Amino acid sequence: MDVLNDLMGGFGSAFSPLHLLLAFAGCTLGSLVGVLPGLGPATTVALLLPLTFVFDPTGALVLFAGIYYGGMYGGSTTAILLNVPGETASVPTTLEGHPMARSGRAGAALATAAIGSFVAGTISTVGITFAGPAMARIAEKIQPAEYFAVMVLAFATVTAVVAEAPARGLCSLFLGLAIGLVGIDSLTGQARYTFGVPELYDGVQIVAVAVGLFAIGEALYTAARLRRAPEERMLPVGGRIGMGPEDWRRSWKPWLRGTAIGLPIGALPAGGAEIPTFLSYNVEKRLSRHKKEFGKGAIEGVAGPEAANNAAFSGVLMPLLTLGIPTSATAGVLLIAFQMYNVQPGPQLFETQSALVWTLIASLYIGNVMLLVLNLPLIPLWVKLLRLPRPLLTAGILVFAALGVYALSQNAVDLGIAVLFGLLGFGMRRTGYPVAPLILGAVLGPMAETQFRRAMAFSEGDWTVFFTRPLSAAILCLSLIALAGPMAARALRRTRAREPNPAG
Amino acid sequence: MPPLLRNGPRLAMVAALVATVSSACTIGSLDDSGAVADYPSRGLSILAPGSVGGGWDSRARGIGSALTTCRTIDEDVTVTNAPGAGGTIGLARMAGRGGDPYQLMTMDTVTMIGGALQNHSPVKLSELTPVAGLTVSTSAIVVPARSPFHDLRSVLAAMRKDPKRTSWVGGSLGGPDHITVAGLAKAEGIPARKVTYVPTGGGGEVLNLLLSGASKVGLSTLTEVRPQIEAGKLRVLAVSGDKAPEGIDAPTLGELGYGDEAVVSVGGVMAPPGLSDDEQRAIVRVVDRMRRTSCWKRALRQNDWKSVWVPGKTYGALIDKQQHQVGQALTSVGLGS
Amino acid sequence: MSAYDETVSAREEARSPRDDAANPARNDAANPARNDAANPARDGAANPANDAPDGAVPPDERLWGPRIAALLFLAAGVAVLGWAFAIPEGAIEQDVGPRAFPLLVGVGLCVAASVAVVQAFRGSDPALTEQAREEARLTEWRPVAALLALLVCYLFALAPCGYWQSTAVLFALVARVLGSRRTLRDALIGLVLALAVYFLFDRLLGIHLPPGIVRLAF
Repeated sequence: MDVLNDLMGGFGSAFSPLHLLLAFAGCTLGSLVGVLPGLGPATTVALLLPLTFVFDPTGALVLFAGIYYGGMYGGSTTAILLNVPGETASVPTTLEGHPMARSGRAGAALATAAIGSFVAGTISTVGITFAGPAMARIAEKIQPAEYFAVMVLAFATVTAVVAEAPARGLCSLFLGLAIGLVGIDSLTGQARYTFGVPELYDGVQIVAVAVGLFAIGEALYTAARLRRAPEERMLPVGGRIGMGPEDWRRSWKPWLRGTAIGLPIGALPAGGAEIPTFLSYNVEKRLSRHKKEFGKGAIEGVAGPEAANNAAFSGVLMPLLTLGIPTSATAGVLLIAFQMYNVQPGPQLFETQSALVWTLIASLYIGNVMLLVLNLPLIPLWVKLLRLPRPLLTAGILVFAALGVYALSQNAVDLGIAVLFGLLGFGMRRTGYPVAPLILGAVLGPMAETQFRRAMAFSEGDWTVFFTRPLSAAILCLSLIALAGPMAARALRRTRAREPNPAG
Repeated sequence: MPPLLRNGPRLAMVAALVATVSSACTIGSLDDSGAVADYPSRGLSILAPGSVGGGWDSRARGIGSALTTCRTIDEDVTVTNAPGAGGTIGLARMAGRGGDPYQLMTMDTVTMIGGALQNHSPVKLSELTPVAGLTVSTSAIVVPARSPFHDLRSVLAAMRKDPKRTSWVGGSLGGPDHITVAGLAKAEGIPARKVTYVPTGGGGEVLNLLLSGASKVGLSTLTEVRPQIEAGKLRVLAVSGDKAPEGIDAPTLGELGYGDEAVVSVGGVMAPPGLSDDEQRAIVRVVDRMRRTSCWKRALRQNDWKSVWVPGKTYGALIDKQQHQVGQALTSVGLGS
Repeated sequence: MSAYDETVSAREEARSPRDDAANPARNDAANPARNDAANPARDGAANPANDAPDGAVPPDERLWGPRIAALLFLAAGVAVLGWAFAIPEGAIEQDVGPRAFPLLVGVGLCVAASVAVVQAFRGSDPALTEQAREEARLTEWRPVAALLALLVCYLFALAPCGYWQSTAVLFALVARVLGSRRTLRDALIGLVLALAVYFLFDRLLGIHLPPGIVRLAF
């Protein structure tokens, strides 16, 4: 089989000493940064971006695969031990994992998270291996009209993700879109929102935006509350890290269910990781025979969402690699990394950069194994890291945030932009505005505009092109459903709430 | 810890601060005697006017490693980056280093001239001291295999009939591909701004837009479309350069009578303005030694660059000529000025 | 559909996890219960402050955060829209010019921000109200301003003073602003960290960092 041959080729390249070393370094560094409180995978990838500059594209992407997964593993450790989720998708882990840690079962929680992530990551990578090339072949037929429709769908699902506060979520998304507009218009050469600053002509550096919003924003937030908010208590890892037979029995089904939920939703060109993790949490809560334990440390509530999170993360790579469309903030930062190496993900990637793609996929397998083998024994080390005084940790985060931005362009303007976005991220966080839509808007916005205008250029100004092409019309209909669905759901709940016995 | 410091954290802080800052900001003077005979007598710095990892950056790093790894020179080489505004931020920085023969910059002729025009750069590329042109890439005009066009003439005939419908896709706005299309239109008497030209980020996107049937004709560097040509998915109508490379069955633009319309962007090295002829020659000699090393040949192979050698004043003359050509082409498509 | 419904509720349950972290005692009992209590309240009540868990603080007093934020978003929307008209259309013939999307984004931002302004001033989102009250109680502005000032100084100091020098100072001062009292130790850690980064990037990875005026021997 072609796929297996390609994959074997990929493994051949991934098993070279340099690539193994890079995968190892990526996993370790990813976990190291991901474990820092408040730093999720998107920030981890953005912070470690400059480390990859000096390698050839393949080596750099192998390093990235490690950082990507490592950031997530590290994030679940913080969620369980500190009750601090690195991003929205790890909130369910805090709901069950932290109570488990408080009752002395941190070892089991960490183990089920790690093993669940491994299971989900591996199954999902198998999925990418076989579905990726197929999807790329379909994607070859896709024209700008469809690309635009897919991005509309992505925007629609983002608003669904922020459904609990649609107005604020949309504010964030539109501000991101506005930031994406800055720079010289690639289709007409006209300067937009540059105010005569030459450093802005090529647009605002997304890495500066991401690092500013997440890392510097986090540092400011910590600074604001350091003295008044009671410090998060680091919970000790009780007992050994591992699971008893009962834990295994209660974990394996949630792992598989989590994977089954996470992979397809993540792989949709509009996925993201938030919906599947919360969905998985609810499914486990409903199916569990230990319903009463939920909220007090039910292992299913860690196993399922962690697996779903990891599966969705791998799934997100599908639209990223085959269409070049990032559907989560982390994928957005990854896309920047690809582009920095002049690797343009898209339908042609599997063909034109076959060796690179398959090495990347092979290193996803390797990274998963490495993290399982590495991460569990290294947890005591991460715990020590988390015990560092908060002022030093925060100072370190700031140093690396500044380094990440500065090393990229070597000018202070980008650093200034990052500081501005840090202030913005801090303000948004205090006032209940989600920041992930902003990043996604800033990355996807320019792509959507370009595809829209290309479609119009090719159709010679005929607006109906988006509806006369069947695929484009179908995707736009889906977007409408994604937009209207949550509203209908809310309306329905409102009706139910008016009834005398509201359904709990 | 001494009691003084333990008791006075504020004092300790001030002490640490003062110590570090004073060590940081002690003024040291650098020896700047540059006798041409022993050039380079200290480390060289190469500026890449783009981000780390991009095309100009990889050329700067390729030259840097060929200079040091293959021991062309004994001094070190530092690569710095000044991305932004189509390279004009780097261009301005070079202009500010007038008279310094130790500061070099990598660039591409047409791309950088176009970038400077479009970004209203106060500095022109021709103000810098030309060192040498080192690389070119062959570009190709391609159509999908099932396209009705079998030669460039039929494409141009269709363009004459309906310039809007015959949509072109290629590299960035005002770049070499765009200028070639504008030149072809002009030669056929079609107003260049009527032609639909869709700029992209390059290779992969061009392929996708052609193979999905969205665009009719495409321009790309040959290396990026070669696998699809060999697989029979794309047909080459013409290539740039003096002769078609091996295995490619297509006429060159020159053979078709459009030699003047095709602009070839020559990648190379520039030095700051205000250098003496001796200094310029010294730098050219170093670059000439560099391009003969096995390190540079390996870099050429890895990046699929085709080697050329356009030293010193010849490179300057080429830049002057292209400055004029690019300026006219951009005006004709409605860009620049 | 019901699964989605619950997804949304679970997220509400989990919102502002930091607050829960700050108050672990509340975590156990309040979290599952809050969901059921909050839902009808949000949908029905016009004056949610009455339903807030601790009604001691008058709602208007501490809610300026969300209001200012919403107004700033609205201002940004107006600015995006206003400046969109200043974009030249360009000489290239196009069906959709460079102005179309900026106008669309400007309008979208204005509309979303207007809704947010109305919500913030009416206080119609109890979860936000509670969060804002909590934030207002816990926020100290001085360290935030100090950190921002430090970062701004840092970005101006980098090129003239050099990477490792400025970074060491930044590290020590940030730690101090955040309450660390062992400044000498922090300065040493900062110095070692900065030198390690400088060595790794500038010397090993070949990514240029400003050396400052004093050059290192190695």
